[in-house]
Amino acid sequence: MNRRGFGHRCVAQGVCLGLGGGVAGCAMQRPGGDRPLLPEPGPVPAPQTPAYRTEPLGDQGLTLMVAPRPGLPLVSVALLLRCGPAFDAPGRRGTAELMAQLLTRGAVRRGRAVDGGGLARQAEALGGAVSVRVEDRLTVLEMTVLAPRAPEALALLSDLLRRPLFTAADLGAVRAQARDALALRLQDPAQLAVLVARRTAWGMEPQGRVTTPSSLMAVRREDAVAMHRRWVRPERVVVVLAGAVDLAAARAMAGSALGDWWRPPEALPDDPPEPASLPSVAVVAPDLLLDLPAAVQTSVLVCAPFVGPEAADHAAGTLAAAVVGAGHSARLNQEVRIRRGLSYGVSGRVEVQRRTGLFFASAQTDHGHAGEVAALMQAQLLAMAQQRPDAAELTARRAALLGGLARQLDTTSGLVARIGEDWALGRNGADDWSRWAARLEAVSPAEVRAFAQRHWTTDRLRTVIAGPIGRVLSATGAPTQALRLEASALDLDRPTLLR
Amino acid sequence: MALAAAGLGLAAGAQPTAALGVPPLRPRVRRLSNGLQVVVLPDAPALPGAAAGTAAVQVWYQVGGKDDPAGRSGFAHLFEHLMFKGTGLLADEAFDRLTEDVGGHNNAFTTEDTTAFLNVVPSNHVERLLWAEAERMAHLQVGEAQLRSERAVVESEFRQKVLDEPYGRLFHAMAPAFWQVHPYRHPVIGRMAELNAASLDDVRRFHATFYRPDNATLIVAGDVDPARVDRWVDQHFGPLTSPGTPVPRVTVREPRRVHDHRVTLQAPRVPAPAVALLWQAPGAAHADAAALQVAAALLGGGESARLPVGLVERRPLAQSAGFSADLLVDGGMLSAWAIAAGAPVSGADAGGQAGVEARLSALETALLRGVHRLAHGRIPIGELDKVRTQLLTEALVARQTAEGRALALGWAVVQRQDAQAADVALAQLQAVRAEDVQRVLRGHVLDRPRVTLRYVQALRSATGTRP
Repeated sequence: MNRRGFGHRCVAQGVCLGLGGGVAGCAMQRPGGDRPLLPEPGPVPAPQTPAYRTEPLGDQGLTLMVAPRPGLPLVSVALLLRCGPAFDAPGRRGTAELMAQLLTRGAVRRGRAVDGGGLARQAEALGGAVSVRVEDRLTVLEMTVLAPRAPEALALLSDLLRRPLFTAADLGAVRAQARDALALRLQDPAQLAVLVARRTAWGMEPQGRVTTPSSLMAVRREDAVAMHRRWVRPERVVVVLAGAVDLAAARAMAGSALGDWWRPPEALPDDPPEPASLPSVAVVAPDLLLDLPAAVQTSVLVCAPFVGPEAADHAAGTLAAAVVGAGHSARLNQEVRIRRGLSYGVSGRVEVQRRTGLFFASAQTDHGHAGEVAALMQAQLLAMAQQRPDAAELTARRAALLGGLARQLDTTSGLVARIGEDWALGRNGADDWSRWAARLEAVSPAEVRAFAQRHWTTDRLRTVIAGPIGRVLSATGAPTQALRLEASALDLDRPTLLR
Repeated sequence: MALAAAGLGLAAGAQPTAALGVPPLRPRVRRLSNGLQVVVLPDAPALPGAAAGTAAVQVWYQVGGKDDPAGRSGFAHLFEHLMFKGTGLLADEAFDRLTEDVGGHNNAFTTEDTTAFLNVVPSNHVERLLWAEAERMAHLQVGEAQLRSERAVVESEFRQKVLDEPYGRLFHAMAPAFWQVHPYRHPVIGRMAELNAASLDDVRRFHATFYRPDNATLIVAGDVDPARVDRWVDQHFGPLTSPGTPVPRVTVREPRRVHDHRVTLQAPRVPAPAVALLWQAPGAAHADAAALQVAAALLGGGESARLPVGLVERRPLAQSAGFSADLLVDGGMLSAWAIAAGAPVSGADAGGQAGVEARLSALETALLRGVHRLAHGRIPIGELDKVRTQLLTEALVARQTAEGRALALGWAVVQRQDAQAADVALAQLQAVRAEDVQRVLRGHVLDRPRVTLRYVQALRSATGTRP
């Protein structure tokens, strides 16, 4: 319940990636008066990409990644586990999230069971808190601490991951919390729209399964235990240390915290398969109106297919997404906020798997303008296939992407997050970062248009408007083709989305 | 450096403070003849890494929500938005061209005391940003259409952050309930009816009154050559002039509260009832500030702090609880708060109402007991050490980026009128002892009059929902 200031921007967008030497051409207005004009930029500084080293830790199957960053006496310590919601059994969606939360609720430390309160005390005594992050195929336990506390922090994370208690009482508490949080999300127009859009885009594919109150309540203790037994093993874990730590110290720390962890005799199971592409037919209808009568703002979300890093047109797609949706300057925000003042901002982000993914653009607006905002957003996405972006726009968005990556890599926890994301997607981190600029540079305006022509066609867009639909429909320009559903009657477990 | 924790070694043992090697910020500070304060913090040569190549350029104006013109609450924040419009030489939204389009970013925020404009750019673009910041300081041009459009954006921001957030209305209600006469009582985002009354004349007057060199601090941090920055600053900001008149300042002083005050706020869609107990505190530069911040962290900083342990972990009274010390320039507010545990109670009938009352009373008692115990009981050295380590870690994490270092300097200027004070503040936090914590709690909290703010679900008739 901290107080917040009021600001100018929405939260920054998701697609990110060195530093640019680009020069934007259109900041200047007509020359005027005798004031000095905008100076030219200086010579471009040499790009610097941080390096990190990857090596096996002994012959246990564990991997160690070390990103030394001298300067401040801080170290971000993390354990990456290759497991996430994509590993949930059918009908048990939510298992990976619950398992991850349970890891902080109780563990055996130095032969004694320590409960969640005790673990929080131990973590906070080190000056930090354990953050738990769950992505599609990745679970991350992380802490940022003063350098002298790093060995203790790694030992703590190691115990959390390897020796959880998984008590039935803790599962009950974590599950109830997750259910309450989900109930709030289902009442929130922006969050509900994302859940529904994922379902309409992916259908009944595993990627489209969202956690629902009933799937969550179906998860039993045995499910979490089985998931842990099957997937939590050294071959599936990476130890990451970023900050004021050198390779020798990192090896010593990791050896001391995890040196006694050996691979189990059971054969390593295969990961669940990853989808190659999105289904081409929408679930239920491409455009949905979700009625949430009490919502204060209406949320408008448009989503479109995207491609993963293994796709040949990934760099072109990344630029296309950046032109429409990444940042304050992107076209969607220009049209909706800057030109018309219809929203506090439009944010665009991508969710990627290795081969495929989704691009989401969302805005909150007043009910009467929701139809107009949806039409503007759709038109901007479709326009990408009609006309090539001009070179200056592409240069600017390329610089924005590279700048975003540079800023992420500027902090030790950002570095850890990026290393984790790359590992989960099968990308070769540091090499990829230094090549990324060249890959983006090589994309032509025509390739960006070609990407949009392939993926962003009328029949592939999915639009979800969530809010008091009666008021949305009474405005001019309201969508007429869309299917109306009552949010209170939604069942996201069913193919029809309805009970 | 002295700021490294006297206590840091105590719990884990054997970490001599000096060995932590926390580099001090030590910026270069000077003032131009037009009154502009200039703070430059180049990266230390011994700081290699990915940060090289970027710089933060920030301008902090000494104007905030407390300076809103009469009948125009929210104006300072609306004006912040308008600063992104053009000048004779800069197009509207040109800051996005100059930052995002070259791989940087920009932002701005308004608080009660200050309005800050933040830019991060590749270091070869620093001069361009200095030019542009000088340009909008001196020559901003706003038209009717831009005013209308930005007002609509702020309205949307209001709905999103105040009306739509589960506890947004509670935060919005705190200042009006707490401050008696000081303009801090107007929420920074303002009231929509007053913003709608704002005119272009208001805009021009506000710019002329507050956006001037002698009311601003320019901060440049990162991969820059200070001599070059000095030259650019002289070139682009040197010619600007400040009006001969003094900048108007808020002179109202908040009187000491003499009575308790209770307010119940009803709102639609309250996920669970909540209560906040509010006490007066001194301003950010006061000698008690560090001890109050440590007290706040002992009570509310993290899951293992006193109030979460007492109200959430040991007794399932609350789903969350905490304590904050919001120390502003002209005074502060301490708040102990809790959100009730259990299923939401609608409060729509008399039985529900009585249940809510009982739960909130139990929360108040438990919050007061937690504060009382800290003020009178033993504070183990390990607990104090934990908090000092948390506060140091948090400050250093924020200093990892050029932008974070510049922000630390900006806050030191706002709160202590001295850019060099960022490290002093950190050292003072590390020097706080248990007896200091207990002294300030006894002086500012225990037996002092308080405001109790209860936040409950509105009865149906009060929400305007049709039957």
